[in-house]
Amino acid sequence: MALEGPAQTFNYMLLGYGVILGCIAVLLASMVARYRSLMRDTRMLDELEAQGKR
Amino acid sequence: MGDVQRVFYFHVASGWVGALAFLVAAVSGGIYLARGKRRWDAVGLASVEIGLAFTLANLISGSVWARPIWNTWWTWDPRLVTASVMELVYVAYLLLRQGIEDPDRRARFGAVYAIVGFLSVPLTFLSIRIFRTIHPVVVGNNDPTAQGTFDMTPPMLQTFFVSLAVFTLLYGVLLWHRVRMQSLAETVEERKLKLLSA
Repeated sequence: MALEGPAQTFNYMLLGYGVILGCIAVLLASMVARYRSLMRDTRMLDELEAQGKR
Repeated sequence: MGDVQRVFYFHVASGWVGALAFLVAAVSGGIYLARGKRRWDAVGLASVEIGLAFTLANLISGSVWARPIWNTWWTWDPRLVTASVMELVYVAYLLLRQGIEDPDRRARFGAVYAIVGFLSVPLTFLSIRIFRTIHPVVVGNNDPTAQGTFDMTPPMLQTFFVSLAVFTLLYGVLLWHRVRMQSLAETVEERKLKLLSA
């Protein structure tokens, strides 16, 4: 039996793209979360140092 | 193959960025051991983190691609196994680093580990040439020892190179921000210690 056309693999293509973009998005989200946490720590340290000087 | 073939441009580019990131980590490790500047340790750590994310994307997208083409999500093929081992080698890098408290010792360990761990990268690249495998050879597919081939038309090649360039640029941008964040993290850590000892 001859094949009538290319295989129907559109959903797998979407899944593949989703996985790759998802991994990059998780990396970015992790970097943003850690940066925010560091900025919070920096502000807290500024306040503690200012209290120490008073 | 149908539409799923288009995953190729992201799948290979992810793998390329993973390998490049681990190479940068190994080179940074060498420079750290030679010069002793902690900035190079930060570059190595940042690069490994980014490399892990892209290698994971490469592995999972390969599995998604394999399902309709090889009729399985996973097979114990040499390329799949060596790529997974490479990923685990660098996961161990992050885990083992966390167990070392002294920053200089941690950086020295990270540098040596990144250099030794890099052996897994050429092994992964060459696995489809050394061993019998069903994974196609993309780079240098006119190699007579290669088991599978993957011929590309000129438009496919152009798209492939654009994809490689974009992913490389993305890696550069991510590395830049991650290294800056690591510098900030070290500054915060130093300030905390100073405050505690005061």
